[in-house]
Amino acid sequence: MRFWALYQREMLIEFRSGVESFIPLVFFLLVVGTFAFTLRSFISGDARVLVAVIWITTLFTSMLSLDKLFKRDHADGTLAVAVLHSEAITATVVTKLVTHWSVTGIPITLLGPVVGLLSGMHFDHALMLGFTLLIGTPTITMLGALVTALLVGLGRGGELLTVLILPLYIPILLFGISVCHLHIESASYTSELLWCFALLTGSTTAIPLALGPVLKMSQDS
Amino acid sequence: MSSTHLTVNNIHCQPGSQELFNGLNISVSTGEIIELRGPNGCGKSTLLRIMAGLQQPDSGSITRYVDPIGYLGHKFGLASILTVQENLRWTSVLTGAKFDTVRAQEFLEKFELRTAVNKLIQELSTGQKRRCSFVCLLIGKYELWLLDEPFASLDSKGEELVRELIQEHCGNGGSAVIASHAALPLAQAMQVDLGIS
Repeated sequence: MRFWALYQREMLIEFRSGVESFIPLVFFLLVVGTFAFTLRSFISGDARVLVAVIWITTLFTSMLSLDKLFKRDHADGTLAVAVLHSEAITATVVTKLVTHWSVTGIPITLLGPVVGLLSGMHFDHALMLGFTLLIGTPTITMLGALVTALLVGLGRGGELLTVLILPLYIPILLFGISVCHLHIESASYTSELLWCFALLTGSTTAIPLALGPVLKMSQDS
Repeated sequence: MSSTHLTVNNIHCQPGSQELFNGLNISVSTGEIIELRGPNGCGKSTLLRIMAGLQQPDSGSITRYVDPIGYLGHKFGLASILTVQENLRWTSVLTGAKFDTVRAQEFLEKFELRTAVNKLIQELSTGQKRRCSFVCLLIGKYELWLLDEPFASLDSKGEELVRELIQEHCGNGGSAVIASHAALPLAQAMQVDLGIS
C-alpha cells in the first residue's frame, strides 16, 4: 500500500517534469542512431559492434538521468523529511529506484533491440540484447543510485558522478556485452549470464537497504 | 504525566575554526517549548539538525524517545511540482497513517489554504508554503516538533496562528524546540541562549 502510494507520487513527479524526464532517452536514441549511421558498414557485417555501442550508450544515458535522482528532493527539503521517517525510508528509496528503472531502464530495454533490428541485427541476437539489458539496467540503476546518494549532499554530482560510477559499471558492461557476443558467435555464455544475475541479485538486495543510512549521512555535509 | 521526548547529552560541535557549543545538555519533555536563542551563526539551526539526526555532533549523543520527529527547517520540505493535497497525502504515507480528508480540510481551512489545495507548491507564495509545511506537521501527528525560524515569511495573522498552534500542540502533550534570532511571542517558552563562545 505504502509502496504503491509512493510509486504513484514518483511517477507523477516524472510526468509533471515533462521533457526533462525524456531527455536521457532522446540522448540514447541520438547517440545510438549516430553510431548506427556512421558505422553502418561495420555494423551490417558484425552485430557485435552495435551491441557494444548500445551497452555503452546505456551506461551514459543512465548517468545522465541518475544525476537528478535525489537532487530535486534534496533541494526542496523533502529528502530530509523522508530520512527522518526511519520506517518509510527503505520504501521511499525502493520506489525511487523502481521509478528510475521504469522511465529509463525499461524504455532502453525495449529501444535497444528495436534499434538493433532496424540496423539489420538478427532477431534472436536482438532478443538476447534485450534480455541482457533487462538484467543489466536494474543493476546499473542500483549501483548508480548508491554513488548519487553519497554525492547528493555535496551538491556537485555531475563531474564526480561520472568519475566514481564508471569503474563500478565495468563488470556489468563486460558481462552484458560478453553474453551478447558469445551468443552471436554461437558459443556458451552460461558463466557470463550467471555473473549478470549475480550482480543483479547482489545489488538489488543490498543497495536498497544501504541507501537509507547513506542518504541520512549525506545530509551531514 | 511528563515523559521525555529527547535529550541532548554533553554534545560538542565545532564545524570549522569556531566552536559552536561544548558540553551542551538539554532535555525536552511533554508539554515543553524550548526556545533556542542567539545571533546569526551561533549554531541554532545546527543544533536543531543534530537533534533531528540530520547532522552528527563531534562528541556527545542525542537520545530520541519519539519517532518520527517533525522537522521544519529553512527548506519547506514540500515537493514543488506536486499540489498541496498531494504533499499532505505524502506526509500521511510517510507516517503510515491513513489520510484523513476531513481533518486535512479542517487544517487547510484554518491556514486559509482551502482554495490553494489543488495548486502546485511552486505556484504558492513563500508564506503559503510555510503555512502548508505546518499543515504537514499537523497531518503527521508528530509528538516533537523541531522548528527553525517558524515565523519567517508569515504575516501577522499567520504568526498568531502558528503561535496558537504551538501552544495547543504542547498543551496536548507534544513538545517543540524552536530556533529564533528574535524573541518569540510565547510566554511559557524556556530559553536556551547559544552565544558565540
